[in-house]
Amino acid sequence: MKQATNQLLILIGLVVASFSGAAWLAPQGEAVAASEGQGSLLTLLFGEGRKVVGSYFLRQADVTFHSGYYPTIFDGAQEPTDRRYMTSTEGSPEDEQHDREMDNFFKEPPRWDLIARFGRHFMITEHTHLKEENQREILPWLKLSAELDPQNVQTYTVGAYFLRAHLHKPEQAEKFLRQGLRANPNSYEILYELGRLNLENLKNPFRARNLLGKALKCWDQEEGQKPEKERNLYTKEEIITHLALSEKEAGDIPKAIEYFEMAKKLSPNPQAIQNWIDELKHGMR
Amino acid sequence: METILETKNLRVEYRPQGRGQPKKLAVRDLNLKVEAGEVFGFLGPNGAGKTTTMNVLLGFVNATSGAAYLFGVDVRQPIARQRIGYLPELTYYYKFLTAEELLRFYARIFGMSRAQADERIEELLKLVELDSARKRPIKTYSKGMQQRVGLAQALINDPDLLILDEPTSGLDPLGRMKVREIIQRLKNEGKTVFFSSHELGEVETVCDRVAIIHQGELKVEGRVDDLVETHQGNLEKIFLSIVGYEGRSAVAAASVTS
Amino acid sequence: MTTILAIAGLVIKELYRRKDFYVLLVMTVVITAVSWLMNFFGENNIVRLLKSICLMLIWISALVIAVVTTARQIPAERESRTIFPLLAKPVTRRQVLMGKFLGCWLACGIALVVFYLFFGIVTATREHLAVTELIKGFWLQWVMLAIVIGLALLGSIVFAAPSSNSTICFVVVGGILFLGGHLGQVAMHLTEPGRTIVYAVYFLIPHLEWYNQREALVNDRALAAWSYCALATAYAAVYVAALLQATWLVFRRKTLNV
Repeated sequence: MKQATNQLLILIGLVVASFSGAAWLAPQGEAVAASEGQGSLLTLLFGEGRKVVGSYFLRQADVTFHSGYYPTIFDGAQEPTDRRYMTSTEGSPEDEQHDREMDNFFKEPPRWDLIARFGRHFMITEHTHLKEENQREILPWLKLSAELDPQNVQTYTVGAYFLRAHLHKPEQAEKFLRQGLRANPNSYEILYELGRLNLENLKNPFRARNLLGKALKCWDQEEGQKPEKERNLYTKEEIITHLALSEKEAGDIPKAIEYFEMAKKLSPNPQAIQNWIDELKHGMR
Repeated sequence: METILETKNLRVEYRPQGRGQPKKLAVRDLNLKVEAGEVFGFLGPNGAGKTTTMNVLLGFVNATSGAAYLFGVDVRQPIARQRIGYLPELTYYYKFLTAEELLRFYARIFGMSRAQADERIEELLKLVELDSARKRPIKTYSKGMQQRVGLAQALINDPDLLILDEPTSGLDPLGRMKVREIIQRLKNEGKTVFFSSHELGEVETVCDRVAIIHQGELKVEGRVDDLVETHQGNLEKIFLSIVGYEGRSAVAAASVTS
Repeated sequence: MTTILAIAGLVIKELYRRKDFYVLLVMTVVITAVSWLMNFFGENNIVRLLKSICLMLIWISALVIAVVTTARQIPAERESRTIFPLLAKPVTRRQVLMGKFLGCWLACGIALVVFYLFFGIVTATREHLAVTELIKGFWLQWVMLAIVIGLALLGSIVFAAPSSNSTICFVVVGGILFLGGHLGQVAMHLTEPGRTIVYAVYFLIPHLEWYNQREALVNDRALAAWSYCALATAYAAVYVAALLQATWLVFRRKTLNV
């Protein structure tokens, strides 16, 4: 009888300890979740490993973009980490470099390696990109990647590019970029994409001007600290060019010319910019 | 008379369990002969070599030397088991099957046609009194019912020789009586039954002949009546004296008295 | 052959009477249905993510069914002692293994048909269904499962516990699927003797990654031509035969008592 009473007391003690522990831990857990600003199911599922899974999802977006043709860490070419080619136009330098890398990552196996030679028939060996009507297929991966790794700026810029340029959903693109901006308030890449979206798709040059102006400031803050050679001058030139175009659309031609002059110094093709400047000057006369 | 089961100088040695340990001799030059229509009791204490002998007869274990035959066919050939039925001790049959399905499975193994199987299953389920439970999964059966379904599977091919390993082990008195009745019935049908048991009273009532094995060696073999007459005691007394327990118990009793 | 088919039939019956398959099917259906309802950026016609999730679940489920079902076959027979009445019939150990292998493979085939039908329906709701490619994908996966089943069957004889066998099988199969095809490239960058060892492993392991056509099915790519599928089938048949032979060599002398 005494033994049974003891066991009952132990059981009650354990239950009380469990509840006390839970009551103590719950608010702490909630505080951590709130401080991280992530309460989604995916975050809960993947915990601290979410950044890794987020990168994997971004990679999956790229794999889908190539319809399964993609190098692994074992293939000759390194897996691309910079996915700027996804947003580049056909025939651009990024696109051509990407084609060169991707077309040849499958090295021909030696003649005696029959396993690898035969295995080729079961692999995707043709480098293609999704056709415009199928490009929506990469969106879920980008959305999931953003959920899990909100600090990865590329996810938002790539996603917004496809939404705006190929799927004709500028409102969705803006929403996605704003989500990215909340997680990365000083990202010049996101601000640039937002500015471009306002300029080209939402036809709001005044807002575009503000956003691109902030993008330029953020670029200076972030890239200005880096050594000269490591600075992302390509994006700076793009920001300034679009800033010039925004000013032009807003009707401030002298300011537009001023920005074009700045862009000319950074451009690999200054003559094209000079033509724009000439055109603007001609219009002023 | 036809010899149904025969062992000739059967010897079984098991590999040593550990390094430096000797081989374990399970059966030593065993010679047995069971004739058609006999009920033969194979007796011995635990670890005497009964199960090993049965395992050789059923092809589960290979003999180290000597030979064993069923119906004159070497037991190493699967065909030797075409005309036998075997009831192992404590077997839990496929619990996801019903009794009917289990019997149909074994009937298929014997290549029986559907009509033949249907007829035989019907007959057997009635014999082991499982007719009403035929559609129930075996997992819902009591121990006695499981043993009876085991007996039914052993009889599916209408065997000429039935090998039963402790057929009444773990059964209640009613279950034992039922199994005994079935053995008696098979005997009346002219079947040969070879079975091991610890229930010596049961062996005495059912068996025509018995063999007692101890430490792998055949100690005694003969008709039950003859043995009782020669040794002037019942089978239990004979068994105890052969395994050397009677002497020890007498010494123990004497020491208690003094 | 009747014996092998009878044993195979038993395995199939076990699969559809147990809950494993239904649980995995329901899990696949529910997760796919949730993915089907998901809306990304107002796009409600996304198909590749849906196919990717559905196929991944099918692959996991099929592997689980194959390994877990196979791993428990022989240990369960030994544990419940049903192996004894089975081998006491005119059944050889080779037939038991063949029956178990065939049963597990056919059971997985049936499960895969159900899974692929579901996948086909899911795909057809959103895009044109390439039936031939789907059949090729199904066939290659089923052929690969034959090797996995062979591996798990060998493991079930070598390792005592089904759980340890299952774990080892999952690790080996996963390892081959993810790394098997790249071992040649890895070996090239190594120095001796590591190089020879890795090459030996590379040429010795069954290249299961060939049979994984998920990426092609998801991305609407053409799968390998039928002639290559036939060669891959022959390659798998060689490995299955070798694995079954190895399993038999171990099993034929195995003590059956647990």
